[in-house]
Amino acid sequence: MEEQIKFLSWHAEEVKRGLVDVKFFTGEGCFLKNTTSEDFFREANTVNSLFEQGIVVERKDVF
Amino acid sequence: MRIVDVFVLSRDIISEYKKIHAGTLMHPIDVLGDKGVVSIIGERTKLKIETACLRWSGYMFRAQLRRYGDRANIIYSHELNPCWSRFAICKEAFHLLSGDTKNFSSDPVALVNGLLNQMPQYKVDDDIGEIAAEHLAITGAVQLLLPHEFTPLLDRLESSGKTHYEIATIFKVPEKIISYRLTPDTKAIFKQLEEIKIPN
Repeated sequence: MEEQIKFLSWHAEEVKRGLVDVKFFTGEGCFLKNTTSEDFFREANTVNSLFEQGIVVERKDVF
Repeated sequence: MRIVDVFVLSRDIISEYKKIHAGTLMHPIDVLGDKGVVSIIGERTKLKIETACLRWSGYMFRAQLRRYGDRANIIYSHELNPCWSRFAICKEAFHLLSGDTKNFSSDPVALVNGLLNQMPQYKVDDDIGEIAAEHLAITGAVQLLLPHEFTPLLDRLESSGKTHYEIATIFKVPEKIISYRLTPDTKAIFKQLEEIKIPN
């Protein structure tokens, strides 16, 4: 539950900053993956951390 | 929202796109930049839309949309190739265009459980707006990147023997999206939509 708690904490803070909607594109879906919501939130927390640190990848091939 | 509503929305964006591009509609459609569909969607929704590619595995999810009152962030994984990146960005941007407040995800736990289990945690009297919103956004992205104006060219390329992969590289979209666009059912839908007279 640790990752879920961390994500929910982030979410609550962002809601205070005006967040109204969050969506995820899972591509081909998670249904067949043997994973848990903790795995999902772990990845989401990683993304949050990267975003907050501003560690972006320059993509000249995406236009 | 119905499929025809998605068509109307995407057609409006493509109409604006054509105006910005001196009345022409060349492939591939520009997604980013001042003249891209995301910029047009930003103006239409009065949202400042920023995209960011981050280095993560993309195992659980490939892209994320965060919508705030006056802005939105579309974040996508560096693991996505250019075609999938373009598609993911368009799909998330279409959520901004089509989403109304009842489709907003305010409960992350229910959202994630729904994604993992394909069974949203709805109450019995909830409507299924959230799942429909995902399908509509995907449909919208397809219509933005492969609008009906491209149908004759798509058909010619397919008839000439080009593989779906080869066609995908021409339009800079995922091969899977070309395969979907060229199924008989999707062709029939696009044909139906083209024949609907929608007042301007």
